[in-house]
Amino acid sequence: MRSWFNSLSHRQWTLNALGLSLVSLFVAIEAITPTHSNAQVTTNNALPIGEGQFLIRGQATYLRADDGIQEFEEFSVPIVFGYGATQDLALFAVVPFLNRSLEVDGIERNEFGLGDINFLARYTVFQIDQAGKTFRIAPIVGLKVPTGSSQSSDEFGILPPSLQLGTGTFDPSVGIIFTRQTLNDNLSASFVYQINTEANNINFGNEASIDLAYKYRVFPQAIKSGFLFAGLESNLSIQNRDRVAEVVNMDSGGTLLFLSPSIQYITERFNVEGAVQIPVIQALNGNTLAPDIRLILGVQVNF
Amino acid sequence: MSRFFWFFSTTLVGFCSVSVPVYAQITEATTEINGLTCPFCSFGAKKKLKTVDGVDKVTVDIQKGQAILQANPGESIAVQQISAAVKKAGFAPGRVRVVATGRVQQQGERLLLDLSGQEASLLLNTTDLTQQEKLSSLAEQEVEIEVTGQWSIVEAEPYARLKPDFIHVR
Repeated sequence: MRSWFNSLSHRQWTLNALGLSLVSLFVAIEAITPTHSNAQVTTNNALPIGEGQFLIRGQATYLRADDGIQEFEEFSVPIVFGYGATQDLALFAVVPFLNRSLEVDGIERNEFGLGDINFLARYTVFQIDQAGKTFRIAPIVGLKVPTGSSQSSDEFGILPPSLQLGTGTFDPSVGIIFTRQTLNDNLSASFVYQINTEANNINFGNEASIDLAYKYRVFPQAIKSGFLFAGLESNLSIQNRDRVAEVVNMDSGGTLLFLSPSIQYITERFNVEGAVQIPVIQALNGNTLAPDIRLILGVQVNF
Repeated sequence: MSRFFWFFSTTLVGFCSVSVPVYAQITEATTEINGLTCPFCSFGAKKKLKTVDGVDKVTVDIQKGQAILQANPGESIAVQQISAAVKKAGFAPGRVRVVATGRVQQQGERLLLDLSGQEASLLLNTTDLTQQEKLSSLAEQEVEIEVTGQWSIVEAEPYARLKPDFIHVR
């Protein structure tokens, strides 16, 4: 599940607090991991969580964006709690812990703590199950709630939105997931649209995320009862421009496409995974700092 | 007093060591699970199948897309609960094969595998004349047999059906 674009359009804040930069950042931050069992590393899938079953999924991600003037870093640990309410309905809470820092002309500012929690519900509306294969379609709805601070400050004053851990808004999202899985491979596609609302005079642009992922079982035999997959995932994110105090921020929004080679080792009780997100299209509006690379390591446990 | 204690304790030990008769049970069931495609998903199926009454151990074979349920000693697997358990795990249940032990009873033309009250009897559903004759003979002999075959249930019928593949006299 791609998170909101945190379009780091902090022109006013950098002007006020640092007095240095007119350049805004635009970084696609995925503080929300794919939510469900055996999901691919950066893409949702529609595979089941049994009724009454719990799972926990945690990812550690590192993101960096640097244009020579500004350097933004984020280390995040989003933790997904999943629960199978019924055979078709799965509920999730995505709890991100974030550590963000921004350095401009030698001045570094940072913030650490709980980000905005996203609550999601996924319902399987269609499934074809055959021996060793399945195809499923599952709509998903979500609501991001403002549990992360959006008004933090330091000795320079209020932190720019890029460093705030939350947006201060309740943001609904809706989407749909398609998954076809066999014993040997998995093809998943996910479309999610998030409506970002206004708080603190900022309205981040609405965003659409389209993810497509394919993974293939590398070895035909199980390795100590586990399957090893290699995959390639693509994550396309399109975000409208932000509005700051009702004024459109021309240095925000745009289109980003990542390609992510990934690897997963999946057993009955746990799943370990890793991926590198490489930006291949960065059609961003105005002066916007784009991400360089993103590293993801994750683990998932069944209960 | 000590004699009484000795008698009481040995009797108690004797009772405890007498095992429950092992006939008249569904001792093993193998269910197909359609849609099962990965180890991580199999955990949910295993967890649900363990809640089926009488089940001690569940082994999931992802490659074959099936789960093997083994009964607690002295108990019979409630096969009719398997389908719901597979559905609750998010998968589609397929055919179920069982290993059942009991005595054959002939009621008119019906051949039943009597599970001695632990379960409703199973209707031995065979059109093979040789097999029917063999089962009739076994009914007269009142011997315990072990039947392996496909289990099915038909609405509004009093008995679940068992189509025998193998019959083994115990």
